[in-house]
Order: sequence, then structure tokens, then C-alpha cells
Amino acid sequence: MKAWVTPLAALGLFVAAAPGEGRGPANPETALATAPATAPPQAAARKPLVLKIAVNDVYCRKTACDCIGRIATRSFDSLLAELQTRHQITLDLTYFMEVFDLQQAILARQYDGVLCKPWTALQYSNKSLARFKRVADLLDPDNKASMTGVFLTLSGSPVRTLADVQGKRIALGRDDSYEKHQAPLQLLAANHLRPAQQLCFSSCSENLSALLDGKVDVAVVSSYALTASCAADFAKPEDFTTLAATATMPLASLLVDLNKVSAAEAARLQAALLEVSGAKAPPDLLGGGFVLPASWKPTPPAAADAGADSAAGKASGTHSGKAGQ
Amino acid sequence: MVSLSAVLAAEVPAYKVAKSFGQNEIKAPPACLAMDAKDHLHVLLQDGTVVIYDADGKMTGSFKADMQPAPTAMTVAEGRIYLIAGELTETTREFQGKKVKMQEAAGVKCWVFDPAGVKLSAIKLPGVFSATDAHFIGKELVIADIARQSLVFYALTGEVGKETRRIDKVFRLCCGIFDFCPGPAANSLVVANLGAFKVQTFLDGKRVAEFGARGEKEAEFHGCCNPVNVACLADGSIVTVEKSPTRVKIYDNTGKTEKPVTGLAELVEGCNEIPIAVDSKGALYLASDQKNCIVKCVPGVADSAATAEPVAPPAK
Repeated sequence: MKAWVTPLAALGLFVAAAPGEGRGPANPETALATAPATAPPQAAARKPLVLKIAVNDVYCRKTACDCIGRIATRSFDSLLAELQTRHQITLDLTYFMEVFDLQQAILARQYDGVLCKPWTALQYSNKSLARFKRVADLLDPDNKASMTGVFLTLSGSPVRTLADVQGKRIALGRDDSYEKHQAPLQLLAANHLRPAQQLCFSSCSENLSALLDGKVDVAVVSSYALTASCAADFAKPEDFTTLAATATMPLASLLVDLNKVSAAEAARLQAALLEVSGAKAPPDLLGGGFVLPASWKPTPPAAADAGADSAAGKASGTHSGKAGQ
Repeated sequence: MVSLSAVLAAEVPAYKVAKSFGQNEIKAPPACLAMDAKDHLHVLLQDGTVVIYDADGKMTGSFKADMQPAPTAMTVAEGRIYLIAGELTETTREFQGKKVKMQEAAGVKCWVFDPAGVKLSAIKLPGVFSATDAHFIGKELVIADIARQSLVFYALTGEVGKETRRIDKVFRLCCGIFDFCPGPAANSLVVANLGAFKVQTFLDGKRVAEFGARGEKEAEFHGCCNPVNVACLADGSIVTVEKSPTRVKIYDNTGKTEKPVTGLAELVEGCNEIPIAVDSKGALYLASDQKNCIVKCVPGVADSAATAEPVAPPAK
């Protein structure tokens, strides 16, 4: 696909020349630089484009657990048909229920792009030849494109504010979960808070379970955990108090590997996704479809972990696994 | 030189797939398995049929229980087959602003049969609202009630079971799955606490041991919630069963050492349990609702040249 030379090259040059993309120091911005409003030449746009995309999405019925089947009913079938018919773009989707398998596929660079929590792919920026950029963000059923990590305690707990986390036990995600690991550690560090102990698990369910079992005083979970994960079956929102939320981050993005997909193709895909969204979004997408990617510059893991060490004090029980959910 | 990991791995037995059987008789997805003292495997199907096999996988009997709704759990003891069915009531609940009509658990009934399918008695079990699994622990009948996320113990005297105690508020269950098995020690039981990704052992109502975590390593549990089922071997080893994809592992009773069963195909699709039973010789029996059959696994190392059915790739 990189060899596809068309009049879109001019547009591609624009994208490729965006600050930091492909030259000099890595650009921390994860959103694809957007093209000027001018439409690409019609002839070039009609040339078939086929992209292999791996999918792991909270609300997709093919990748979500059955126990949230009433909520996770998203299908991409209509979207794929629209893209093919109107834009000659074929997205060959492979669905991954298990994020560990998706991570392996990303590391093996088996796909041109991924549709998932962006950190799932972006965490490998320094370990892989892939150069992922977010082409578009996908709206959730409430038409929100972002998420946070939330600090929860049990209702009635003496821990009432984020400041109370000082010296307490906290359950975090493992280091592959931005909203449950990097972002909360950054928030704690920014507030000069040092938990006495931090336990790191690979799922919101385990964090909530540790909180319910009294093994920790505070648990950080994804903001959708109590409605759109297995935890919804055993953890009721009224049983918890929210202390704080991390900075927002994209919930789901379509990212492409710019070392496999040309900048022009990425821009064409972005334009097509936006064109079939909003009022034109197929109902089975469960929301308004795709929007331009919001600016998001995640802090590299090393820096975040350094903050975590200083914030966490004598961390114990921290796992070294790389999976998260 | 023998590596440390090899030494540790030798502490739990290796298992391999021996055969599958039951394709001709199992006409509906299996709901539950139970083993009697003579190593006769009882298979409860979702339509209420009970099919009985000898240790060689030869069918020795079958009957269909006339229970409505169909039974969802079964246990056998002293020549009797206990079938437990949940009673449902329709209710409306709200999910993210949408009202959804759904069936809600309202109670259970337990009917007792002989192996020929003759109904011997009916027992009321007040205090439970659903039944996903049942076992005798000591002399007490224990019901897994997913609706209340509780294990409820009954002394059976007469037509009404008397609740003696319950274990609750400690299970993190989801997907309608709640499985347990008799533990290695007398009066102990082992629970697949799948939402917490843990295997937990209880004795006299108290948690005495646990292991497990979600993770990408073989020794950890994968997926959105696992393990879905558990069983105990005579030597105290614990067998765990995971879905999506199917994985069966043998752990020592501390959970520190484990070994996977090799050669297993995908046994269920999606988020479903995989009922398991163990006979006196340590053979494992796993129910497949994909192929409506029973897969038997026995101790031993699979021939590396054997054509093991691969685990399915990610769903397409």
C-alpha cells in the first residue's frame, strides 16, 4: 500500500510533513494531523483500498463478554458496507475478545491498523517498528469519545477525598492500562500522594474484588467498569463512592500503522469514516460513529512509572505482566 | 540437566485427551455432569434429559425429567439423582436508560429420581432463587445460587431442606456461571470465582486458600472472566476450566504449579461454562456444547506426533 502513488501524494506530503511525524524526535501527539478541508481528487479516492484491521472494542458484540450483551450490541457490518460502497474502502476486520492476543498481533505487526483503546497499540511505540496514529475516535452509545480512570472507595468508607489516598492501599491496573495505571499514578504524583501499598491487577473486576474483599482501600477502574464490563454483574454503582477521575483519554480509536499505510491512505480513511458518521452513522454503531481524533499525548511509560515509584512509596505486590482489560 | 521448572511441573499430573463419546445420545447441549460412586457419568442436558454412561463411555440408561422449567443442576448420591430447577418470573429492569424485559430467578425445586427415571420425592429448598450447580458436601446438599451469589447448605430431612448455613458476599460472579466442587479435605469445597479470576477453597464456610489472577501467562487465567469450572482430583490437585478459548489446567492445591491438558479442541462458543466431572481413577470428563459430546481426558503425556485438535483462533 505504501507503493500506491497517486495524485493524493500532495496530500500525503502534507500529512507526512506534519511536525514530528517521521522526522526528528517522536511526536507525542497521537492524533493524525488532519488534512485541509479540500477533498481529495475523485479518481484517486475511488481506487480500491483494503486494510486489515484488528478489533477489540468495549461495546462490540463480537469482542465483549456475553454478560453485557444487552449493552454491547455494536456491529460494524453496516459501516463496512457503507465504506465499501461509497468510498471503495474495504476494512478486513479480525475480532479479538482477548486483548492479550491482540497485543501479540500488534507486536507481530500483523495488521495495518487497530480499533481499540489506543494505548493498547501506542504502548509499543518504543518497542515496535509500527508507527500508530489515531485516524478517528469512535463514539460510545452516549456519544462520548473519551474515558477516564476513576478512583473508587466503598460507600461509607472513611476515605472521602483523593487526598485521603495518602498512606492507604490502592488497586491499580497493570502497566499496559493507561487509565488504570499511568494516568492515576500521574494524578497521585501531581498531588504528592503516596499510597502505602499498591496492588496491580489486569482487570477492573479484580480491582473491584480487592476493594470489596477489604484487601485495598481504593480501587482505580475504567469509567465504564460498572456498566459495561463483567463487574456490572456483581458490583453495583450505589456501593461505591467516586473520589476522583484521571485526565480524559480516548475510549476507542481507529489507529493505522503509518509504516504500513501511507499518509494519504490514512487521510482518505479518515475522511471516509467521518463522512459515514454523525447523522449518517448506521444505527448498529450505537452512536454517532467516528469523530476527528482529539489531541492526546500520553506520558511515556517510563516517565509515568518514575512518578509511580515516588508516589507509591513501598509498592508491593506489583505484577510485571503486560496485559490489561 | 533437569530444569527447576521441569521439576516443579512434575508435581502435577500430565493429562491428554483420550476420546470423545455421546454424539449419538446427546441431542441438546449438556448443562451439568455428575459422577456416582461406581464411576457412572450422569449427563444432564438442557432439555431435562439425563443420560448415564459407564466408565467406557457406553450408555447404560436415559430418562427425561418432567420438570418445567427444565433442571439446571444435578448431583448424584447413594443411587439417587437430584435434579434442581429454577423457577422464573418476568420482570422489567433498566439498563443505561433502556427498559428491558427479562426473566428473574424466583426459587428452585428439587426432584429426586432413581437411575431408571422414577421420581422418588420432591424437596423444597427455601432460600435459594436459582441453581447453577449442586453437590453433596459431607451429608449436606449445597446449592450454588447465582441470583444471590451464595452457596447454600441444606440438611435433607423430609420434604423440606433445612438451611444450615450459607457462604455469601464473597463471590464475584458473572455471565450466569457459578460452579464449585467438593474439596480435597472433608467438608471443604472449591469455587471457581470467575469474576475475581480466583479459585478459592472453603472449609466450614471460611475461605482457607485461594490462587489465581488474570494475565497472559499460562499459569494465569485469561478472558473477561475465568475459570468457569473446577474439579478436584484425589491427590488434591485442582482442575480449572477456562472458556474463550478452552483451556484446562491441573494445579497443585496451592496453585503454584500447573500443567495444561494438551490436545483439547474448543468446547464451547462464547461465554459459557464447560461442565466437568472426575471419576475415581482420575479421568476428566468435559462437556462440549459445540459438538454435543463428552470429552474424556486421562493421565499421561500426549504423543507429540498426535494430531491434537487446535484451539480456535480469535473469532472472525
